[in-house]
Amino acid sequence: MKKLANIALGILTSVGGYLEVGSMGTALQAGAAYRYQLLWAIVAGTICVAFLVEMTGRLAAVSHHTLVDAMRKHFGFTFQIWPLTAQIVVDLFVLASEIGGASLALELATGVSIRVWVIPVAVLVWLVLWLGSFGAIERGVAVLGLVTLCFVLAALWLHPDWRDVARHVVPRRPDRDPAQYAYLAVGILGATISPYLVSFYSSGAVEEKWSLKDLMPNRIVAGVGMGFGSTVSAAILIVAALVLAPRGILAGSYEQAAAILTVPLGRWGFWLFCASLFIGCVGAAFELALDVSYITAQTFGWNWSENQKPAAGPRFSLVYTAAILVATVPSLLGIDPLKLTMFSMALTVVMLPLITAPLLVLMNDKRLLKRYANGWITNVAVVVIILLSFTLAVLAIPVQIMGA
Amino acid sequence: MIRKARTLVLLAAATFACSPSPNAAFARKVEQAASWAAAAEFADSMRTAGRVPQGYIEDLFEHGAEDVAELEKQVSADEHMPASVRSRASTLCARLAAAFRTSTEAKAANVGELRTTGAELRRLAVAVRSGAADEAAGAVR
Repeated sequence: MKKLANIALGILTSVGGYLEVGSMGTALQAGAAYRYQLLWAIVAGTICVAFLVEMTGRLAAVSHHTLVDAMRKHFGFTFQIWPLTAQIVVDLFVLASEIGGASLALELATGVSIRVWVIPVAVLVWLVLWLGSFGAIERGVAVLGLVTLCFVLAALWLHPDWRDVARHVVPRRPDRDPAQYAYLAVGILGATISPYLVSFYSSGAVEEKWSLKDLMPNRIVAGVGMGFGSTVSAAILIVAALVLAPRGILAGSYEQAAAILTVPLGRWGFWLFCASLFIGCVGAAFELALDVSYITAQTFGWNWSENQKPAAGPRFSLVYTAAILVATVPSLLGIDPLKLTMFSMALTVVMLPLITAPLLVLMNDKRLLKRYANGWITNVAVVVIILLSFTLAVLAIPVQIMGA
Repeated sequence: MIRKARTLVLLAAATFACSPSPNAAFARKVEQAASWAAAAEFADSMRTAGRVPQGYIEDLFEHGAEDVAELEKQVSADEHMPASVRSRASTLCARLAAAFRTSTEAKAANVGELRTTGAELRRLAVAVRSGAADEAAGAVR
């Protein structure tokens, strides 16, 4: 019974904590510009992230090491510095996008400029991390994040042609502008296969002292939880395809897309959009700021845990404080949150091989994982999707820069 | 060494194959401007129905005016396109930015102007994408 409750809680956490500025922004733009044509990118990204999350959970349950910890022990500190640097850069950009997204949600709701909200949002994120524990933050975000299910409700309400939707689960040639199509695909893949999710999940598993008996719940949570979570992204894409695309609205900024839910959900739609954007972004900001602390502390071998008082791990608390501070800069400078998001997602995909390749090596190490090492299906699935994402990014990003 | 060079050549070829034509890049900017017009018209209809707050509409007009003014600069400076097309796109963007400014002052959308300018921008984008650049400028005058 306790195991079932844990699985349910894990799935709830995956669903409630899934949506953030990247998945929301990329799905809105993809649906508005290409209708259902980019649905396959959400599916491919979800398969890959489910495998990655399952792998890091398995690593934690079998070896009692976090991903970073195991990497440092296996490859040495000098090697570990490179993936650490890559992930910190990605995390900071995405954290900046999340703080920008949450501030923009408040601007949409109040009409007061985003720049006024950046510091209060950053202080809120910092205060919750300073005062809260890992479990409380994780569950709080999960429960509040269920508001994002309004997009699923809206998609059902709009009665899409499900056969047409299903046709786009596999990639097809775009009907126009392949460069833009590839760039949006990269954005979706980057938003779905977030490296921070993987290292955060791994740290959480060690915080919660997982053991071999958690292997099955881990597998179910990774597969079902990520699957359900990604239905929220798919629902946003579907709603954008049905509401924005026919009106010629490309969702080049959140302001253009904020009324999207008012068609299926009436006056509640606008407030639900703002609430989803705010809660999704703040929830992800907690995880990202914590992730920067986790990976830094684990690389340098510091004392780390979100469950300890800040005084017991001053360096751990100092790192997330500094990360939050740095992440406020782009929004204070007036950089558009959606443009920052698209850039962050593309950067994520470029960095993915550097972050995931060492994980694959570790997961195939039979000395570390014994009979729980990776099978060939997992290896092939992850390698194919990461290579596809990376190739798309290498092709699409220069093209996008030239086009801009 | 040869393998690396071959990979680089392949990547460069693939990037070139994917690269947007100047027309597509220009059309995308024109479509972005048209998108602002469509978003404002849609949001204003939702405001009339009492589904979105007034503050949001004013915010949308303000950001629309800023972004379209920026797009106007970009289309004017795009030297890959014939002068007549640039001039047409720039004039339409300027008209749209002005419509946003008057809407901001009036606190309600200038729906007629937004709709007309948005439609003309869309027609121009379609013509530019189809490669009929010079005719595009004439067709939408």
